Amino acid sequence: MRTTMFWALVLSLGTALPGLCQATEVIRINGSGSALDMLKPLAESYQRKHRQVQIVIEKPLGSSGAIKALLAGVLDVAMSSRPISAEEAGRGARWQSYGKTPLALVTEMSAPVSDITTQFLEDIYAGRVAQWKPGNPIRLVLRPQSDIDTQILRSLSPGLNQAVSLSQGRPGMLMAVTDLEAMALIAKTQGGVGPSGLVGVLVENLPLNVLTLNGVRPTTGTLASGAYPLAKEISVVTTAKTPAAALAFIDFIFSATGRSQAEKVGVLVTGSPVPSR
Amino acid sequence: MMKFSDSVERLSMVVAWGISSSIAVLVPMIFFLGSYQYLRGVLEARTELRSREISHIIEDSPLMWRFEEIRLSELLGRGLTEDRSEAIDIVAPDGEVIAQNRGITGGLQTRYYHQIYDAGQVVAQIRVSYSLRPLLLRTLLVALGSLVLAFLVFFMLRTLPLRAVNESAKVLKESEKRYRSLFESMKEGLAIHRLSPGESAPFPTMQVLDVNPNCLAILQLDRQAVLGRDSFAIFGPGFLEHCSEFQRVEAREGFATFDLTLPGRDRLYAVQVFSPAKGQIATLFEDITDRREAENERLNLERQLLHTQKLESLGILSGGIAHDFNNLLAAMQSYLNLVQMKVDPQSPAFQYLESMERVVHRATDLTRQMLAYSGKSRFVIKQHSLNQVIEDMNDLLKVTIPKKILLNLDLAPLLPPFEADAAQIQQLILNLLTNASDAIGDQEGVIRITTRSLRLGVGDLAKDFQGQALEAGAFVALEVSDTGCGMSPEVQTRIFDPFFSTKSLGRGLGLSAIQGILRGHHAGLRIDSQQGQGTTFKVFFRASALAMEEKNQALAPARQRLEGTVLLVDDEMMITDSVSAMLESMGLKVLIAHDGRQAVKAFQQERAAIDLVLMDLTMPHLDGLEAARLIHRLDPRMPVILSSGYSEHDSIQEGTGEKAVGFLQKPYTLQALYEAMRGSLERPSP
Repeated sequence: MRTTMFWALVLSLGTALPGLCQATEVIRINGSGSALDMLKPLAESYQRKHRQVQIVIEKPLGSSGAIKALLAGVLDVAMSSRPISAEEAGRGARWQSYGKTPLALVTEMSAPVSDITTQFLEDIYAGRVAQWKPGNPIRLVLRPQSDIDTQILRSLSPGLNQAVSLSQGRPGMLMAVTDLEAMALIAKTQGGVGPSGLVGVLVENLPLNVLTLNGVRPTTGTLASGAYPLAKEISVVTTAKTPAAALAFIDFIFSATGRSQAEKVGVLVTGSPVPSR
Repeated sequence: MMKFSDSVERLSMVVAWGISSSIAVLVPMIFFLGSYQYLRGVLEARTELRSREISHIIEDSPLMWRFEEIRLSELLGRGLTEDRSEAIDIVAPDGEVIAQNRGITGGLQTRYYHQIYDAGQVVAQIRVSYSLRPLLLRTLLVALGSLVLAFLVFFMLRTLPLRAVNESAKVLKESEKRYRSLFESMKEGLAIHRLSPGESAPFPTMQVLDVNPNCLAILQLDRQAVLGRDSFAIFGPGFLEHCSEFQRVEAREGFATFDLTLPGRDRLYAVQVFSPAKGQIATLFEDITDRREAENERLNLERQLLHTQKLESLGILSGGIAHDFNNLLAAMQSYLNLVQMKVDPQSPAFQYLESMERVVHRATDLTRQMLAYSGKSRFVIKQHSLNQVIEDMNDLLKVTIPKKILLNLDLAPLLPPFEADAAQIQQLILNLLTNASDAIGDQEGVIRITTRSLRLGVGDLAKDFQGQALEAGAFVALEVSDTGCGMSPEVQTRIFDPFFSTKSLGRGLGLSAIQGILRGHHAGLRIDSQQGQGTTFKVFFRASALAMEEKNQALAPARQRLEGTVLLVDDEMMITDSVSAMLESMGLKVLIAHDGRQAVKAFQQERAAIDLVLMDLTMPHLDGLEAARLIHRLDPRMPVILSSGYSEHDSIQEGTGEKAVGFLQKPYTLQALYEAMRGSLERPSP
């Protein structure tokens, strides 16, 4: 949370100072947590070169909320972790795939674990295992059922799909709505474990232990090679009303500079260098 | 009975239906309403909590909150994983759905709307729809369970009580049957009345509710004439007298008894009263006429027995006194006669001696009365004509009664003879005449002496001669009636008591003596008397079947000197002294013995010299009759004359006394002794 406030302050100052001498163009962007985590260093970099541009990134609304806000004209750009629906497309949404980031399984730093197997993950979600080892309880942090992270986890194995459903129905579970809330909750909860986009872990720099899954470390390399199975899509959604300044910023993130900066924070950029219009 | 059973059946049916229907309807209804209210409460509370959380989200992001779809969806879906009956929408004021969580809400549902405010402005509304299908399904299950329960309750309420009622009704019916059988067949009359407080207290009203056949027979009425009628009118004024007892019995549940004679009935009933139920009185009528008569008869007999025992005691007492007096008088008579022999008849002293002899005779009469009362006077039983006995004392009768009283004799001709002691009968007639004369007193009046013959049957004897030992047959009746003052019933019961007299100077022995004479002759007596109208004494002598013997009137022989030796036996020294002096004055030799043993011994020793034995009857050691029997065993032809202050008539008749040649009743005169001696000593040898 403090990191978010920091970025908001930085972006605001960065855009306010140049505005003293010329007109300020505000670009309002929101979307999934991982995508915004990736976008934050890019936006900072872009604003340094374009002083008249102010990029406003508020608390993540999630992919669906952001697209809805975009279509309502409240946002200029929506960063999504999923493709748009036909209805959203019909209402004028335009989607461009950008890349993907590994969905890592992270624990609180004191958790005595560095690797996790699919089977063990299933046991944790199904409630069959409650301790890392005697005296070290496992505290699972769930994401909302409709969240993309939950759906990605379900896709790992049928057993995990079933175990996730069981975990959703179990009372008293820890729940975090956004990526940032999830990371913060895991970091402060002894024995905490849960999924998080790798980009968030790298950008937010929270005290989290990234686990290898079945012995595979979540990196852009293992993701690109297909060794790591869990990935979150990152895409850009615009409309015909998206202002030119916003489109210019999108061009920036698709540029080589942008790609390079994105890959530094754990994003495997797969989109074409030139965004479609 | 059946009406009661049907009524209970109907009532139990209604109650069972009512309770079962209530269970079948009310339980599901209460369950549904309760659950619905609970559900509404849960919905409201849950929605309130959600609205608070949404308000926090709005406060954090007033512009963008409505696009936090995942957060809002998570919020709406919290806790609904299992409960899929709830559908929640967050709707903006313009109708746009901001977030929703769709559960299963088809069919009947309940709705709840809650406004969400931001700084006093409505920014959204939570619309909750909750499907009632699960609740209805649960209610249906409860209803099915309630139906089963209602059926069980109906069965229990309908069947079990009815079974008990039917059993009770059966027992009650049998009890009623037993009661009815007893009621119908009991020999006592039973009537049940309703007792109500009268309009004018304290007189209650009683109404006949039921009567048994015997009660109808007692009343000689049919059922319709009795049921519902006024009990006091049916059972008469005697019944009304006990109304206070009826009230007491009805109030305190005790019982009462009384005797009752029903109107127009000559029967006596013992009535027992009890209260079988509140406001009811039962009267049990038992005919006690025969029992009461038997009791009265038994009491009469007891009284008579007591009276007889009393009379016997008095008889024994008076007989003993008379016996001793006769001994004294016998000695006085003897000495008086001896003195008269020595005194010149021209001497003034001779008149005094005659006066003294009259006094002795009066004393003798008195002791004879006492003996007659005791029944121990000597009866010389012979056949007599009652008319002749009366006519022989005609002169005596006339001088006995005052001149103002007219004596009428109504003597029936051709009367059968009867066996009696004529002297005793004359004594009886004189006593009755004296009694009649005393009843008339100084007034003018009539005394009628009537004789007649009649036949008394068993019925007559049972009716008019209760307690008197008479046998049915022909009787000769003597009736003495007067026109005197009559007697009260109380006086009639006491007239035969010794020393009871209504006269100031009466000795109270006249009628007592009559009773002794009657007893000695086995005669019956009946008294008809009414106060102010006179009295009739009716004496009934048993008629004799034998023909009348002609009387031989013997002339008194002139006194001459006799020869012979007489064994004089008596335990009284004054008798032996005086009588031996009289015997010696006749020229006889006298041997004396003082009891039966001495007499027998003396007879054994002087058997050849003794010509006659003069034997007292009552002596110690060996009485006169036994001594006479022993003497006759030694010499059957020895003449024995018995003598006594008593008259042992029965003993003489039945025992060895029948072999005696004569009997001398003490006190006897010198002349009587002489005639007895002469008659025996001059009797030709058999």
